[in-house]
Amino acid sequence: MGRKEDNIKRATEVMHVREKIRNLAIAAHIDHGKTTLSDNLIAGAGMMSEDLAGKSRVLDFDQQESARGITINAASASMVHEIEGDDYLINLIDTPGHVDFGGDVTRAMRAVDGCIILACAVEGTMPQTETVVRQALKEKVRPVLFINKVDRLINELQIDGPEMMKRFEKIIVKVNKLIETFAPAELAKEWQVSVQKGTVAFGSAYYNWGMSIPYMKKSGLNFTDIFEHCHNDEQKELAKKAPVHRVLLDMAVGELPSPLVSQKYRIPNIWQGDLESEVGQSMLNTDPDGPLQLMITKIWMDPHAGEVAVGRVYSGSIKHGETVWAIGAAKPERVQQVSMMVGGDRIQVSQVSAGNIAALTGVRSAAAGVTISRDQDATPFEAIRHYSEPVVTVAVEPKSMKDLPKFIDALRGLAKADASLQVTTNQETGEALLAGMGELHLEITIFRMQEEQNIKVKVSEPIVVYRESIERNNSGRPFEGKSPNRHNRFYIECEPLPQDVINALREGQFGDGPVRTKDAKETGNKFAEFGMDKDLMRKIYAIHGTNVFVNDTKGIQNLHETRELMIEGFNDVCKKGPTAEEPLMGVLVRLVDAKLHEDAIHRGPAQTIPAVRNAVKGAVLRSGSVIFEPIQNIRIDAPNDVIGGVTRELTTRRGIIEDMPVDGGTASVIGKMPVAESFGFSNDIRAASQGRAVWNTENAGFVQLPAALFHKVTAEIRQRKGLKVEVPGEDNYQD
Amino acid sequence: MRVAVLASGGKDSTYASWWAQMQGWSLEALITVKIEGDDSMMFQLQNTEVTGYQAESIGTKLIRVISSGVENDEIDELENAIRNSVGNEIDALVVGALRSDYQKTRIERMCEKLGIISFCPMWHHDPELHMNSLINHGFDVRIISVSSEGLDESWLGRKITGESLAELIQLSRKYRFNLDGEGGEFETITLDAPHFKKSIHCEGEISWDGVRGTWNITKIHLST
Repeated sequence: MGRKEDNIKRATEVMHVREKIRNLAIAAHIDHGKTTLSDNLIAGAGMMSEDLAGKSRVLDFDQQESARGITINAASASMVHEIEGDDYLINLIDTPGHVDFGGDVTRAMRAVDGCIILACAVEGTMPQTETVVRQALKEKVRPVLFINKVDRLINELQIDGPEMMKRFEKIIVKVNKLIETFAPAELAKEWQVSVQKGTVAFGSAYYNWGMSIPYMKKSGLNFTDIFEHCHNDEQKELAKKAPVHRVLLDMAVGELPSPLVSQKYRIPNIWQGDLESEVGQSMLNTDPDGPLQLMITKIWMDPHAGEVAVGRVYSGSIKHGETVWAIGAAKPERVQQVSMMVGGDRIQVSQVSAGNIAALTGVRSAAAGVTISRDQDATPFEAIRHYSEPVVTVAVEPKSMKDLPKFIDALRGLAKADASLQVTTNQETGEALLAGMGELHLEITIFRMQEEQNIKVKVSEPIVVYRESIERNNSGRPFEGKSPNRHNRFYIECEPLPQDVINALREGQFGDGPVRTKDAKETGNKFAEFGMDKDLMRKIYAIHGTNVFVNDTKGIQNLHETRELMIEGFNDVCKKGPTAEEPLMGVLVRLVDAKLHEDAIHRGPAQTIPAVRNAVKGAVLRSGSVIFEPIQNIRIDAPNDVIGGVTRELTTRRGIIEDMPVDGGTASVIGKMPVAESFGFSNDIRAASQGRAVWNTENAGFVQLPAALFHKVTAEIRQRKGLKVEVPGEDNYQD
Repeated sequence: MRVAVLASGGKDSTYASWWAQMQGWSLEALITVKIEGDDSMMFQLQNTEVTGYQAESIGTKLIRVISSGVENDEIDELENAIRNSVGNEIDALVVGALRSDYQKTRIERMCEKLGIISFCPMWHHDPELHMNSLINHGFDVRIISVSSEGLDESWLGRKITGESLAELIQLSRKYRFNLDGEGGEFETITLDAPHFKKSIHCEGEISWDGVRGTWNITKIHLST
């Protein structure tokens, strides 16, 4: 039996020993060496040649990931780690380091109990690291820290021991600050990382070595040994004495919780059902014999098996050949294969039990975030929250019309696999609009469709998705919207929502969609916690994105019967605002009065919806409508001699420079740049810095478009959409 | 049975008068309400003058009632007008209401006060069957006002045929309006019907405000 086969056998055995399972993710910034580290761990566990580790990138199994040198999707890998004769099963979930795929990171975090925060010893923590760690902490995932690229600190920057400790301390303080801010209050203290406690390790994933205080004690090595090995070009020996996989997996086993421990506090956080019920108890206890409860965290397309759904089993065991429900699907489906993932390999097993990560085929209605159960009426897991909204759109169509059916199918698959992607298709023309997190996100999505499905497509230039909002209110001056038959009238007032409420809405704290009457009181109370009028907010009708619709009327007969239709009218405007038909953001819409025909037949959908739509549009215009544009945080690192060209490139793109720290021969530019100006930045910055600049961005919300650009931008959008170029006045919605 | 028909000139009241004749009843009069205001919750607004030609074509008399169109007053105004005209000559009033409880309950209450019976022969007929029945029985129905999402000015003046009905069905599903126009989505006039001795010919012009519009008769005459 080869080492790999032997490992597979041991993995399938230890899978059933719950206290010996660790589900973990690696959270890091792009280029901080995450995939290199993952490969080390897998290689150390005998799943690939140790010489290749650091160079082959098993987890990057998508062709274009290797080509671009970044990891795009969260794949998973199981491996066995031995400590003092005991086998432990490590289920490692890889997470993308690129900002555009925040949806994938969130989902990966839902599947794990612990994570290794990977920070670069040279660059420290980066904005994206912060985003990823925040996502982990919100999911009650316990962090440990690995400081990578220490070899560069020693060999390139010639740093001595005390200076190295100072650098480490800086990173540790920053990480602990994040934990303190974003971890659940009751865990924030316990979860602080420290070198002494053994929750911080450091090393070089590229040279395959790592170190921690517990490992120093175990191995007898000390800091001087490390410096000597690095200076004498003996990192290979160091890797033999202190292999990074051993150091980190020891840390994971010793410091990160098993499912048995973590599900006790994580389940109440991610599942809204009755904890006293059979399934609730079974999940809290990670019971492999309890009712099946599994959550899908990722879908990927296997060239041979088709759609593979990967998810975490929280309760029970998923068995090959059994019939299960994807909650919300119309009919049950048969599980054709159950597998464990080892890098690019899927190893078929007869079952995967509670606390583990399983890969399934055959369950076609599964999508990322969906709950799998044997009970059709099982309480699903809370919808996974997304912390990002699409900001860039491209139009895509197949080059040849004969590919149209395949194209539509591929889009359906993409939308299922990537929740941060919005797909709208025009069935007649075959044109589809893809909205995503950035230019790169969409480029990769389309690349993948062309390669995997072999469809040639035409792609438009990227287009920015703006937001419409208001800067004043029309309180006391409600806008009247009339139904076409004039027999129904709705009176609407708008006001801007406070910024903290908008943020909370964006994070999904209040949910999305119509609010059931019986839930309105509770939802209203939550708004009151943000200082909003409790009595008003308890009359909430619906939430759409970051907009809220409330019924601020009293005693209007038959109003309740038109509730659903009024919400449809409100939703229409949230999707397409009056200024440029861009999505509405941060608006509180109050219905202050209504006159209804007492006969239901006179206030059907074709009467009520346009009446409410006009009333909301008019009220938005009357409240001083404005356009917001997406911006991104940007950090560019470049040698001092080319930094001038870099800053020039940023400022010509309406960029704002917030900080320019200089560190030896390297300068950094930290600032903000509108997404609208970012297209083609990649090429221009390369030219401006002779290819020596490294840069990163992350979406940073929306800011109001400068007044000077309002007319230019709205005219462009309206022209593109085939609308009249001038923004309509409120009288267009009044008659 | 001596009856009068509450007639707007549209498809449903014309159908109602045909139905009354088919029962073998004596059709004593068409009663038409002319609204002075610009809106009414009860009555059709547009082109009610066509009822004069319809009455002549059917061979019955026309009673014209002028009403303010003010909610709740308008039904009292109609009641007084009937009492002062054919109140004693009829046993029943036939109306073309389809599904509007608002119209039906008010008419019933009025008839009770007048001491006559009310008939609503097409009450809750399936809209698609009803529209098809009009076409199949040779009713020449024209759309003369639209006020609903999904109905634009191209509908003004259009005849209801198998083809246009198919289009209307599509739109009514997409925009979820009443196919028979019972919610005020559109109004019609009837230029010919099985019980007409002569057909009506007319010309008109379109008036459209961006949301709703009317087709207004400019010339009208009976065939010779």
